[in-house]
Amino acid sequence: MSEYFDRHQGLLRWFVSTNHRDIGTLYLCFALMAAIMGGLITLYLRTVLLQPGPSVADGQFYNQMVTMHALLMIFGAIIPAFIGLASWQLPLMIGAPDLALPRMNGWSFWLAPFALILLLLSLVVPGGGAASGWTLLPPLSIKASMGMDFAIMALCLFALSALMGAVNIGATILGMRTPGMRPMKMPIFVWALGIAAFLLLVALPVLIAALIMLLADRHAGTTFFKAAGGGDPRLFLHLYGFFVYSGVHAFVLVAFGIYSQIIPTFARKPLFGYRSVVYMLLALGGLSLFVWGQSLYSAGLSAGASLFFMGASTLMIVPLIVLVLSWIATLWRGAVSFELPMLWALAGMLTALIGGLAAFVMALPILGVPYGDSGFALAGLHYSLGGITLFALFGAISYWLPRWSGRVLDVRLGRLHFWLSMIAFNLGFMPQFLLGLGGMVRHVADYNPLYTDLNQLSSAGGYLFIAAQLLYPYLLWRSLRRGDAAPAQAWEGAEGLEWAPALPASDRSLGERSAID
Amino acid sequence: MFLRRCGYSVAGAVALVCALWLAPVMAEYALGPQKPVTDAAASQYTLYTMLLWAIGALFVIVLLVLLYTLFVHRKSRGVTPARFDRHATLELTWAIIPLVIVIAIAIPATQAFLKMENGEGAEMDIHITGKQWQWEYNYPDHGLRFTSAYKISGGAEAAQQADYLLAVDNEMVIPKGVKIRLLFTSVDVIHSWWIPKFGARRDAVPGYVNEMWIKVDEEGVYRGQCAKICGKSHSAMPIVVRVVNREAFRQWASERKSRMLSPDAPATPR
Repeated sequence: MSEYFDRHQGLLRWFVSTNHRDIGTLYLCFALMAAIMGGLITLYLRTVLLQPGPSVADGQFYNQMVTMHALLMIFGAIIPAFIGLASWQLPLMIGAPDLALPRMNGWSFWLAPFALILLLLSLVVPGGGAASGWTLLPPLSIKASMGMDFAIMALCLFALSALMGAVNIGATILGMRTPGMRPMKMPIFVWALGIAAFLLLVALPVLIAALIMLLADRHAGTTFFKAAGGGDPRLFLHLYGFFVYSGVHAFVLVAFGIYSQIIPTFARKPLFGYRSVVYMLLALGGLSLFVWGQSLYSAGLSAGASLFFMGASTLMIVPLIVLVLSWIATLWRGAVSFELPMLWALAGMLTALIGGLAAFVMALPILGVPYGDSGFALAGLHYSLGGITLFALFGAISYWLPRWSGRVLDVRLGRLHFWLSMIAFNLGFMPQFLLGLGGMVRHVADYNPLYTDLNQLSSAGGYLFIAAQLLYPYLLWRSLRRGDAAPAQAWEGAEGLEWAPALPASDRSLGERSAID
Repeated sequence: MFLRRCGYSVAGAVALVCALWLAPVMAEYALGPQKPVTDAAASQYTLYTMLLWAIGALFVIVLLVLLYTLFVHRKSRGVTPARFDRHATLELTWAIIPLVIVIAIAIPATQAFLKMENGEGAEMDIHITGKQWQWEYNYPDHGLRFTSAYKISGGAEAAQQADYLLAVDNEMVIPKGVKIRLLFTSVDVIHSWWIPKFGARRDAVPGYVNEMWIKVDEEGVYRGQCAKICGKSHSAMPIVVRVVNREAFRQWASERKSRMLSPDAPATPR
């Protein structure tokens, strides 16, 4: 496996490869880069919010930075990172030589850097970048200047890239499993990827449609979102919200799949209630298609519609609780050790509880109406999008990188990164719950002195968190260069095809396919 | 043995993180759900408190069970792992119990929500229009119309004043104990009108009218902010509502109206 890095030295390889491992690596490096960019913006945002008082000359620039932060993190970091992870792991875990459509895999990656360039260009065109928040709400987004067009087109490219990734994942799972791997014998991570791919397949076209409709309203004289022409700005909220809620839950599902792989390994015990976990993942995925109305509780939704969305949204806490209890039952009477992936999985589990319970609170319209656009919602979305998914990614990389590269992550640095991140994350976002309940809204560059202390706590957490993440590339570089060698069976309790001593040949020729017993 | 191997630093970090999580449950911060002055806000407060206790209890129990198993069922204690991986009754039970709890919470939540959205018995209308970056209040029953914009106090110490970003030139005045229907629209982009202590928020959508009802039971001055990003001065678009008794409200309304109708009044509502 360590020959992976020795073979084919040369820059050209990275541009022409359609090998799932190369593309997975490209995706993950790209995601890391975008995450660091988004993180640097966080430093700016938390500095502006360090004290009450006008600290920005131009509120418009602040709004651009808020928007760019979210777009970079979600479309530039989270989505590519998960697709890259799938690209690496999916074939290995089902005993396939590559993904179903390797050339499309390459294409879907290479859309991303161009999309990123378009997104960054939006900041330098006349009028500056999109400043409407990442929800791109019309009519504000319709009145916006050219930067909005760049952002819309960048998102279309990102969405196409993700859509192709989802198709690839779905096709691979459906058609390329090794003989004997019936659905109920698939690794739980593969289940999670499959459900997520389906959700993305449903959600991304809606996003693309909404974006094109927005573009048309801006330039082609249509009135999808203009009341004067018979349209409604809230239609965009419905369409975009549908994408957001299904898409976010897709990634949360994949994160849960990662935790469900890591925890049994380090408990040295099989996952408790595999079938129930599969059903709960299916339930989470299915329900997530019906919850987007939460973002419209204060927008004039009828009581009946609000109650429908409340029903679907509150039900989602049931699968979450079952999952958490299943993970604990997996640990129960196991032999638990605390290697780095396990730390991330445990932190992720508790973060999932917090994020899920916060989402439950917001799902009730009686509470969602007043607190929907407050700091409470901000905290909830960061615990879900930033906490669950990010911790899962860190856990997945620390778990599988030894298999990919033959080297273990540096233990001390890894632990330092983990503890700093954990403490900083909670320090940064727990105060936001209280700020929201106290009346602080989102997307503001300034606030009343009443909110100072909690904002300063939050900023301290933000600074510490970003500082911890700047440690991460160094951790990776150092471990890959000088880390201890890892055997194929990198972790004692790990089970699954990806830990086999001989993997399918890494080129696109058909390799030995291993059957499951 | 565990502590000696992993260091008190790890235990300390765990304790710190747990404290951060449990703090909202235990703390007596000045911030938290605001003191309710309407029925809607009161039911929100009650529901939220109940939820917080339930969530806190759930979280604490899960945390304790987790910490127990992590401590007792550790590899470093030399335990042999069991191999059980299913238990149909247990799995069914721990799916059904949360479901029942969700339904139990949904019932009062639904009732409170429907009561909040119930418009019966409204005595007067106020039309609220959002614009970049101020609010316009229109009292059709009293013939009043005026804008309410952020009043900048000026000076470097402005940022430290108690009503920084929360003061306006013309407050919206309403009578105490009267159910009022509020109608919202906008002339440019989507804004959102929110007073936390009322438990009331509605989006002002251009081209459409949203309605909401409030009945405030206590006199006072209540402040809120625009809750939907609406451009560069979104942070400086406050809302101030002064609740007075009926008599004071009548006086204010007639005084305001005569000011509007006087020959010195500016051509556009101010």
